[in-house]
Amino acid sequence: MTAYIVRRLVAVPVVLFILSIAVFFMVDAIPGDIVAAKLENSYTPARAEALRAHLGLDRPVIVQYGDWLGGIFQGDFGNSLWNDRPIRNELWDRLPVTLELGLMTLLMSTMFGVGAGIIAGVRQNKIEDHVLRFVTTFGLAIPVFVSATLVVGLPPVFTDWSIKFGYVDFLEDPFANLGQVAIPAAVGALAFSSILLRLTRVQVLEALRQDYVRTARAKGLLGFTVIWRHVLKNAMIPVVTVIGLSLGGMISGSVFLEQIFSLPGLGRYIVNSVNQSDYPAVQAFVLLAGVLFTLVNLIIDLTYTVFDPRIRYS
Amino acid sequence: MTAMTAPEPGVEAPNVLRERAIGLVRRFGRFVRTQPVGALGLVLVILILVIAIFGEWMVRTDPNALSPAFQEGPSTAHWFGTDNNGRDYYSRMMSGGRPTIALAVIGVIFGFIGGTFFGVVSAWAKGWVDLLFQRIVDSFLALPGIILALFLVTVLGRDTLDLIIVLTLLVIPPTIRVARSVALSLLNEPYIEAAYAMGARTPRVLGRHLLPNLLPPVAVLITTSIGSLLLISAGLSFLGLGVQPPTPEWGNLLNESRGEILYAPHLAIFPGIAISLAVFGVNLFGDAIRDVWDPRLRSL
Repeated sequence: MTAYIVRRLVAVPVVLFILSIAVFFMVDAIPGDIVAAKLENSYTPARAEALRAHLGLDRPVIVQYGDWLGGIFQGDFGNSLWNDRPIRNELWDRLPVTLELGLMTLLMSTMFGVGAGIIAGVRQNKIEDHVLRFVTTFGLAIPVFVSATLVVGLPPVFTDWSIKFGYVDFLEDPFANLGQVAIPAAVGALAFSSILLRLTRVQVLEALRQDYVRTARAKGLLGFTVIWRHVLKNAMIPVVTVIGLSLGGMISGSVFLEQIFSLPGLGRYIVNSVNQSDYPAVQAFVLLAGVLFTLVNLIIDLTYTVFDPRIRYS
Repeated sequence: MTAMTAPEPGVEAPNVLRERAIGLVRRFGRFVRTQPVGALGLVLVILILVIAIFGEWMVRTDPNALSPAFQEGPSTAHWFGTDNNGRDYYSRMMSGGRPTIALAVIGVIFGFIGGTFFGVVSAWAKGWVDLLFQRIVDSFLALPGIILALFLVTVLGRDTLDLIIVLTLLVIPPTIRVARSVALSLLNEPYIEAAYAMGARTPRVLGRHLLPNLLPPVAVLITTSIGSLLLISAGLSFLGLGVQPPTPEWGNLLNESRGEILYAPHLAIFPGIAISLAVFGVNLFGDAIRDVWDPRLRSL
């Protein structure tokens, strides 16, 4: 097992290094001249030369890469091509919004998905099970950008109520802020809780068939105690993993949800940056997403051994 | 092994063909009986494919033809109503399936070919080549699909060819991983050793003996990824980064509807249903194929 952990720990920096190379050099290979684009009408060869020197673009590309990577280790992601602000500040300002949206989505989908999944599993083939599974079919079938568009668009058609755009900061008005984020979070949770519900249900069903559950029943434990102590404890291991792995889904979801609900988060920033060909911003975001995603995956894999001592990596 | 049992050409009598056809029909019948949900998925897949292939010819008006009938609801003249420029929405919907579906299907095919090739090479080469390949694959898989797609769009652009490359590059890494792991286990099979012992060279062993056994399981697993590829191709267009208006495409139709939804909710509802049904059908069908092929792969 130690060998496995060491191998995983060594692989992470290698993977991230390759990712950084890909992210840097693929952008570097884009045809077109950033300097010409930046100067636009005021372009003269002398000015272009000066700007190139200022941006460090006159140096060999390897040196530029080293400089870029070195800067990132010190928290310097360069400046936006769009408004020349440091990308670190741009990302940092938007992080809370995305974090709030992600956490709320996670909370909602876990509460509904796991809770309803347990009910569906315990009441297998009863009416509750059928209804819940029917609902998950929709959750899995409707893409988040479709449901979000309809949730924003349809209520004003039929009612007087509509979603209030114009983001309110949490510190300004906590309740308005939470209410504002809760709707996109619920839309995101619809999809993710369906996955959780199905997984939880299957896990509960499997745990219910184990010998130790029959033993627990036979020694006269209450139904609730059996479910709580014996079934759930064993059913939850894969569920916890999937919740952890959902990070990627949260990032993907935020791209669409923030766009549709006009939330000033990271997901909206990346789409704008792609639209404006703001290469340094895209590079920084992609690399950070990769780092985050890789580390979370690593942590999940390693905690697996803690949650379930039966698993022995060889 | 197929080479040794293959009959002489012309020996196959018509009644053998007929029996084969009957066998195929029986297997199909069994699929429908045992996987009713998968059969529903198959119906949806066929419907979507028909729209993708024939949709442009199933309309009476040009999808880009303007008319003074703005934002009208569905009627006998305009079955799906009209949009904010008076364009017939039925025509736009019927033409809007092809780009999304074609991109996803082409991406899967190219990705499948490329991924299988590199996966087999990686498994066969072993050693540091394999290791390097795997780390490169890992670094691609370190990003959620849509983020990788956004990055590739930034680098490559938004033309049709660019989008095909983007989707292909999304399929290749997971395919390499699957193909490699299947190839690794197949390379230990006795028939591979036997083929070498009979004096076959590596390309022949890999092409004639490994590949026929490798393709079905890889293909089955990759089928399940078409759904997410459809989502990404429609999603990119929705974000304005994929198929560009005025070319109708379900994703950009949905996006364009957002401004008009208050006066013309049908503009959002039709593409929303179309995208959902397409993804839903493909997923149901893919899951069913996977279950039939190997019930052990059933996860959710």
